Amino acid sequence: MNVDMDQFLSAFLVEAQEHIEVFESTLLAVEDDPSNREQLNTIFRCAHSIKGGAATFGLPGVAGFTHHVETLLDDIRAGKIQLTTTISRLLFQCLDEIRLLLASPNGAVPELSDSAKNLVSQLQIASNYSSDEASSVQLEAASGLLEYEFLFQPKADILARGCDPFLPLLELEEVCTNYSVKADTSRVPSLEDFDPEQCYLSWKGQIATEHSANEIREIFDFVADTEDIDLFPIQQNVHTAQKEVTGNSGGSTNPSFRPDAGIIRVSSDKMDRLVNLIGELVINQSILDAVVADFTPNQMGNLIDAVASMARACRELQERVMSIRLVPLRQAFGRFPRVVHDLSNSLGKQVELTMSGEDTELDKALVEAICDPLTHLIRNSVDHGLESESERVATGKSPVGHLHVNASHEGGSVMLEVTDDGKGLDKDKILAKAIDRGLVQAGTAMTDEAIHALIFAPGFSTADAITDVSGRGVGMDIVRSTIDNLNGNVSVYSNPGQGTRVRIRLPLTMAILEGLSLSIGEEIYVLPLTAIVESIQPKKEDLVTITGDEEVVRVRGEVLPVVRLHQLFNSPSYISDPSKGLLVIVSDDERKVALLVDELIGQNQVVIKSMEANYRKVEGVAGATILGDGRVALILDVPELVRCADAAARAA
Amino acid sequence: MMSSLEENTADFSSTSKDGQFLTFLLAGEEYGVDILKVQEIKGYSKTTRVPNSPEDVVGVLNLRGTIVPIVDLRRKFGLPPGDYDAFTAIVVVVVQGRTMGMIVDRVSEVLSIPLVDIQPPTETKGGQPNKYLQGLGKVAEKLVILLEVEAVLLDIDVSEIAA
Repeated sequence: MNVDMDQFLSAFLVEAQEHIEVFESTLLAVEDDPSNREQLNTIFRCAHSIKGGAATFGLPGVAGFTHHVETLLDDIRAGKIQLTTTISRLLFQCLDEIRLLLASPNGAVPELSDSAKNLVSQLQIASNYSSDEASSVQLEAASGLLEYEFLFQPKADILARGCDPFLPLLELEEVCTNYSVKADTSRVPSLEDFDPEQCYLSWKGQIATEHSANEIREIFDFVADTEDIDLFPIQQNVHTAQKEVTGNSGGSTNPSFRPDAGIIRVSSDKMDRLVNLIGELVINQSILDAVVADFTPNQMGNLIDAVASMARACRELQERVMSIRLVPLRQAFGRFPRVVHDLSNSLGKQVELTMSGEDTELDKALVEAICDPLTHLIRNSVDHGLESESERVATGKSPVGHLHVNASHEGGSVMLEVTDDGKGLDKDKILAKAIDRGLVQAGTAMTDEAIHALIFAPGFSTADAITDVSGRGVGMDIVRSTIDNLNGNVSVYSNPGQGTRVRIRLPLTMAILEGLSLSIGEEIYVLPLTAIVESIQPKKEDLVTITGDEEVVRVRGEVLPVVRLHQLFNSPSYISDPSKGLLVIVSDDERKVALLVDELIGQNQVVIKSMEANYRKVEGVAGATILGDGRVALILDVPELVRCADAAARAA
Repeated sequence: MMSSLEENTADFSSTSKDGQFLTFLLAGEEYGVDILKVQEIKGYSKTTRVPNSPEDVVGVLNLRGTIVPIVDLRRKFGLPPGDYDAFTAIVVVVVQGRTMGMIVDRVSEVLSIPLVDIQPPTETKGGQPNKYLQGLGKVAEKLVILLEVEAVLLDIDVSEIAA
């Protein structure tokens, strides 16, 4: 029994999370448009669902606390209380408290924590204060007895879902002063067609009640969908109720307030297993390819056909599974308005946040992983990027700072951009700080880009320029290392006085990568195809050795550092003369380096396997994959290799 | 009837005080590891070298889709290198959630050693007991060196990660 309950509990927690998110985003919207009743209803429904679910799944603490929130929301919805900034701030605090309660064991004990008690008393003060002032018109509306005709027609599978259709009817009887109901048995089939697990009944009746149509509907919330209940007011004097009914139906068709639209609920465990399975398939395909490579000629045709169809099936399955894993970025973007709202309030700045491309899809794990770095960038922009109102006005800008978050597809990757119209990065200050920290030698000539990139260097902190708001433990270096770990990269562009833009490029998925395999001696390595610019066989005269040990190569007028992979990896055998081997030019979006390898083997899709799971991070290696013959090949980490070359060049 | 019952009871009491060990040979000595840590035994196959790794980590191997680091125990213990032959085996163990492999000369048997017959590690010349050792097991006439498999395999990682 306990085990079963746990299973439902985790489902409820997921659901509650969604309700909280809708609550939050709707509350933010209501702040701009307090007259929108439908949004208030949405908020109320969220609180109601959380309360109901929490009570059912043994979280009395959550249920008890949410009940108080619900009471206040009900008053707001009924128009007894105006939704002021104070009250919405209180509601935001309550929301955070609910989150906390859901996450902590406190949620399961009926006694409320001190912080929750404090909030409850504030909620009660808010309710009482305003109910005294409630206008007589609203009181009248609330005391009026409303009469409805209702038709409750549950879906046939209601019994299979474990719901009892009588429960809401019994509850209805309790809240109504006048109640009559009749079961409609006309749809019950003859005995041979009768399925005992199906519900063939529907109920029709008349009620008179003080409660609003929405409240009546809520009674049915737990057993049936909204469309299963029809509720008609049967007297003209129930003007308000009618409005609520129409308002309600309008809301349920409005897509922006459907919390579960577009959310796929698949356990990540199941998902990972699916991805593994695809990995297996891809490996099998490579094995088949390997078999074909040295096969007797007469059966070649058949075999190639088989391989082709296998490859096709494989691709299709892969795409399907991948599309399950891809989720819209909306999930990550959803929390930014709140972040900006809170932060701009506490800093006393006016910030307008716009977002675009929320529907861009990205691997679920990436969406989750990118959330924190993005939040950090946004906090940074609001805190440091955007000037105070007076400063903005003084420089002739609009007093409202503008922050834009954008996501878009670009080639095989996803681009994320955080742009602000603030003061931009202060190059001189950054450079001075970097010299001070010993990151750069004084007097080094550096491009603007290189200087801007310094903010990502570990140990670079503008601590004295930072307020406590941004100094929350995630430095820019963590942002970059997180993005590096996701096989992405990040760059920053800034114009003094006009603003800063941070661009993050991420791969669509972390599981499969288009790669180019290459050899160094007998060892095989894989390079991500997206990082490769070109490969060349250099002429002797294009290779130059500077200051004894730093090698560069000239490619069409560009001078690139050469990284001898065999040296970096201490390979036992290799081609040491670059003019006999190959130079593969790779780029991390900012800088290019030439990697010296023996030869290129071919292009193929590889399944990325973690090295860290059982071993550890290896420098210059992003992961491993399994080749057609079952051997392991290491995947090269291009951004890290570029950085290595850079560090070597600087040291030289 | 009676006798078999007695036998069963005897068995039961003895297993509860026994340690079960998988034993293997390494440069002529017999070693043992806790059988509960062993996931499987497989024949030797060529590993992929991982650059910039400690010397005893000879490489990684594909174990049904998982990348598993392989430690050559001869190198680990500073024993003379041996040839990999048909008897060479990889003992795959799970230590603290990590799957890792150890190359041994050959696998011999599974032994039950009563706890009373296991002698705790004695102090070596450095004054510290050897941290790789769980103890010495006395079985009939021979001595089995019982390894603390976590210490043997994870100090590679622990020290590396800390560094």
